[in-house]
Amino acid sequence: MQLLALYWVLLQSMLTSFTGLSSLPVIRHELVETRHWIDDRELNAAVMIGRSTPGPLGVYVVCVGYFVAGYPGAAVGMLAMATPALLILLLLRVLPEDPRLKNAIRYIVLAGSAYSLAALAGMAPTALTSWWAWGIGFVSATLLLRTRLATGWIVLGAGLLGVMLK
Amino acid sequence: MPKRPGFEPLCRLLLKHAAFTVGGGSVTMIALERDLVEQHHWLERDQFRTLYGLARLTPGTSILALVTGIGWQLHASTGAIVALAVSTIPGSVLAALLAAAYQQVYEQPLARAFLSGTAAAVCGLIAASVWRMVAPYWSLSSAIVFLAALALALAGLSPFVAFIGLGVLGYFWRDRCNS
Repeated sequence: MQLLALYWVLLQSMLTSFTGLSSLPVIRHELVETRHWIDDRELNAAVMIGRSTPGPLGVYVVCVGYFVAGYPGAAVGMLAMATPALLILLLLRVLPEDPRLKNAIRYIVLAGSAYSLAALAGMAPTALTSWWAWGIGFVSATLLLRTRLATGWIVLGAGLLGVMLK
Repeated sequence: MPKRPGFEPLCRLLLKHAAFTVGGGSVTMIALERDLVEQHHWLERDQFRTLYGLARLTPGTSILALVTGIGWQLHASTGAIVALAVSTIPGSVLAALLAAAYQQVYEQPLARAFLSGTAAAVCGLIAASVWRMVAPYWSLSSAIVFLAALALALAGLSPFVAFIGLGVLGYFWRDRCNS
C-alpha cells in the first residue's frame, strides 16, 4: 500500500513538472512535511545524487523512492519517472502547436519555480549553517548559470571543499 | 528518406547519450541530434526538432519523452517502450546503488563533512534552477503569476492542486503577452 501511495506522490510530482527540479515542491510537501517518510537531509542527498549521476536529472526521484522503501521504492521511483514520458505519444497524435496549451505550461512552470523557491527556503536552514556553506551555495549557483561545467563536478568540488573546511 | 536502424544500434546510441551523458537535457539533446540526424541519418532535422518541441511540452523528464518519441518514430510502440527502458533503467540502478551507499556512510565524520559541502551546493543549484526557469518568461503577467504561486506555497496549499489550478487558468486566460 505504501508503494502505491509512493508511486502516486512521485507521479503527481512528475506530471506537474516541466523543467529542472520543479518536481521537488510536491515531493517535499507530501513526503517531508505531510507524511514524514523522509527528512530534508535525505531529500537534499537525493538531489545531490541525482545531480551527480549520469542520465536524466529526474533520476533523483529514484533515490527518493529508495530512501522511503529501499530497492522496491527505487523501482517505484523509476516507474514514476518513466510513466509521463509516454504522454508524448498522445501529443504526437493530438496537438503539436496549441498556443493555449503553451500558456498553460508557462503558468505551471512559473508556479513550479515559486514552489521551488518556497521549498528552498525550507531546506536552507539545515544546509546553509555557516558562512562557508553560503559561499559554496553562491559559487555553485554562479557556476551553473555562467559556465558549462557539469553539475556532477560542481557537487563533487563542493563536497571536497566541505572536507577541507571542516 | 531517412534510414531505419535496427534495435541494437538504436539501443547503443541511447545508452551512450540518454542513459550516460552528464550535464543535463540540453547536452543530451545536442548529442542526440548530432548522431541521429547528421551522422546516422535515421531522422530528418525537422522530425527531430518537432519531437524535441513536443518533449518540452510533455510533463516529467523531457529527455525521456524525447527518446520515447524517437523510438516511436523509428519502431512504433515497441520502439517507444524499448527506447524508454534503455534510457531509464541504467541511470536508475546507479542512482539506487549510490543512495544505498549514502545510507552506509553518512554517519562517518568524513562523509558528513563531504555531504555538508554538497548540501550547500544543492541549495545553490536549486536557486540557479529557479532563476533559469523563470528568466525566459519574464514579464508583468509572469511576475503576478509567480508571486501568486509563491503566496499559495507559503500558505501551505498543495503544489499539485496549485499547478493544476494555474494550468487550467493559463489555458483559458490568455494574457496580453501571449495573445
